[in-house]
Amino acid sequence: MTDEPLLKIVSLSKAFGATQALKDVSFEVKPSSFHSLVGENGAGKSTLINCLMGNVVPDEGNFELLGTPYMVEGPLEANEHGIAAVYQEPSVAGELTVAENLLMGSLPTQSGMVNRKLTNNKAQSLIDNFGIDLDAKIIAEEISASHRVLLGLVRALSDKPKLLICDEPTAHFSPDQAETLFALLRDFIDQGNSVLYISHRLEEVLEQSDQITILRDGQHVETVPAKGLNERELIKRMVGRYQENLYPQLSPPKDIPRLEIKTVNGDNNLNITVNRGEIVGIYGLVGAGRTDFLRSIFGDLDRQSLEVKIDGKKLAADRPDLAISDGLAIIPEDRRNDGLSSDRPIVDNTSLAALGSFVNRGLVNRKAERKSVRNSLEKYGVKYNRMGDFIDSLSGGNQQKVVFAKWALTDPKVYLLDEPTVGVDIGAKEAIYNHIKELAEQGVAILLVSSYLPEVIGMSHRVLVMRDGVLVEDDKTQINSEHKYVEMASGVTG
Amino acid sequence: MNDFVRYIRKNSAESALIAVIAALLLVMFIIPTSRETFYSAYNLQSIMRGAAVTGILALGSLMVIIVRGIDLSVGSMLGLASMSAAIIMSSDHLALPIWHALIAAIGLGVAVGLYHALLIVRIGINPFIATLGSMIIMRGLINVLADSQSVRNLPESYTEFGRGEFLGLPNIFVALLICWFVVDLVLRRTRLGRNMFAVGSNESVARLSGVRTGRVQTYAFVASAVLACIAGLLLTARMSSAVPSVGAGYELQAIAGAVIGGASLMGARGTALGAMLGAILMSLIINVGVQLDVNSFVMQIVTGALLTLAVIVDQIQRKRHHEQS
Repeated sequence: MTDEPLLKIVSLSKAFGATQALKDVSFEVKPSSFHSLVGENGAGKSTLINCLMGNVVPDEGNFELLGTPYMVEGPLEANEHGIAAVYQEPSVAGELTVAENLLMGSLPTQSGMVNRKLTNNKAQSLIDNFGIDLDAKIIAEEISASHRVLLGLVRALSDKPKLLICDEPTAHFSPDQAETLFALLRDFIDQGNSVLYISHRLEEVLEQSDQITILRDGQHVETVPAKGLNERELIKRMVGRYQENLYPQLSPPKDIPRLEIKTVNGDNNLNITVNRGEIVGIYGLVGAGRTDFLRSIFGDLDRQSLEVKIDGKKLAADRPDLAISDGLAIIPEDRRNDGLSSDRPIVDNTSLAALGSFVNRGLVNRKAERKSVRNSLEKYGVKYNRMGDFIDSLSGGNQQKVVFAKWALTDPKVYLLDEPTVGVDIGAKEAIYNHIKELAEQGVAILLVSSYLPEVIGMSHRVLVMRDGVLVEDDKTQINSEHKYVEMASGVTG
Repeated sequence: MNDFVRYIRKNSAESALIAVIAALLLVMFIIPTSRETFYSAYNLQSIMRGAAVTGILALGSLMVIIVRGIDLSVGSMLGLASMSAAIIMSSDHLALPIWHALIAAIGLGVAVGLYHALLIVRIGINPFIATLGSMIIMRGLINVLADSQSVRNLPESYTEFGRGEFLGLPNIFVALLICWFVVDLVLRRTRLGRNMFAVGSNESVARLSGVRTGRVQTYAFVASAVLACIAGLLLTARMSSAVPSVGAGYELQAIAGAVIGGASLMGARGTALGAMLGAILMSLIINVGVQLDVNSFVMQIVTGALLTLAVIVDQIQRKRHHEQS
């Protein structure tokens, strides 16, 4: 076993607009190594993978695979050069069979026509070789999530890569299935190849890895052997310090309840009360179900067993328009697709939720509308040219301010904020945090969903953690318990 | 001057149409042989009457297109309303006053519109398929109702209206102007209109902003059907008869008119004025073609080419707009 690294990453940097996703990241992956990559959401792991797979072109830096320079323009090329990837939610062609998915692009033919029998046999033998229990003839749509990952794995391994990237593959796995996966990976590694493994399941990472690389805020913290590390130590390195002065000092909440959320049929016994002026943070990893939770409260998703009250009044079932007139506001996570209409003017976007208040005898009073919109845009510091310009003439940070200006016009009592500063530069972030603080001071109750821990801690009076659709409530906020939140979100017990 | 330039750029479709129409009118004036025939009172009125029917259809299509839908059934709807009203009006057996027939026709439009809304909004069927289906069904219904016969003995007062004038303009054209006024008012000045643009632009954003998107789409489809019925009633008045094939193929002219007038099949664009001008332009072109003795199939090619051009221009504008962001 030589000492030469399998993969060398040198000074990798990538920015997306104002966000620096990766900054001067350098480390090495040894051959025959189970090498894990850990970090919080937004630490840069996905960007790193995308650079390796050629989905994204780095601004600076380069790669060396087995001593030779490596630079590709897409996953196909990456496969040809020896790097393959398996993802948490692999895309499969649902209407095709497992066999057809597996051998896509190279279906066995006989005199120019696809031979179904050959296809099935070849696919099945591939699957059996890996010891996986999967029938190649099944329609891909019908196989379980975990089998999809295994299918993706077989597909990736059949190209005989030198480096296999696994991005959160065990998210939907039972412990047994995870064992199967790790056995496969171990075989792969014993042949001299390496695995670059990304996971939030820290106990898994510590158990399986030879080496661990920790990223934080786009930068490389360290790369260390897994031996000798325990969970708490690992988390401490992942989380680090947060910028104290980015978050304003919050005023204490009042003692009057504003928002009450209960589950009615006793499933997970939810009972949350948010007082006037209180900001309750909801932390969790991506996919934990937080967006769905907010949407259910808002009435956009079937509320099922949730009962929501604002100032004691129960919200009508599944009517977002009534929820708004009862004082609810939602700032969605996906600004581009759910927050603003990109090909509508700024003024129309801003007034949409509050349009009713500008209607006079059936007609929209455009003068009043423009006046209110102008005031709101000014209050939220939106920099724009003309009100009639389209929304996408504005920067991300400004667009997010428009979203806040929009909802201010409905005079809400409760704000549901879903990742309010994602894709927003530091300057706009600070402004938004101050707006949130001011809203709270006016007596508004706020639910703040975020997967960026420092933000959740800095901007909340107390923090709830969500995992797999279930809220794990924690009534006390202790500033040095941020490690505890990551643990709760990852499912680490103890 | 700057304001003028800005106005032109903002209302580029309408401005272009006005320019083309003006150019056409100028050409017909300059060519001496066509000047007398084209600018005769009879011909001008003929143009206006033809434009009125297509124009009203185009206004209905506009609303549906704005919410990102499409209504292929308007030609058949026109025919069904036309035939139903004609049968009721001409029936000695029923002996009902005219306005009963009119109400029935409008009611039919509301029913068909609601039917479309049920399929498209509630069940989620693709509007293209749903309205294509009803287009075929209604055409069959027309033939069943009329027993494949034409209806000719319509009341005198009704056909008088079709030939009559109001302040120098054909009644039918005045009806178009009224429809234009109403549709324009709804689209530009009412909350419903604003919500239609919101839904067509981004249904998710509209929903999360409290817009009752299903209801808005329903209004659009009902409006399209009702306007088609109105057009049918006017056409019957003008023709003094209803034939089973009436309205066939009109849906394409209606959509073409709206799109040429600035509507985008991707929703959230278009104006009532543009749709009307688009329909007028097409009527004009056909008339000019007849005047200049151009083969009618060549005219068909021209109309199709115009529609294609309008869609291409829309696509280019959208692309450029997206790239700038």
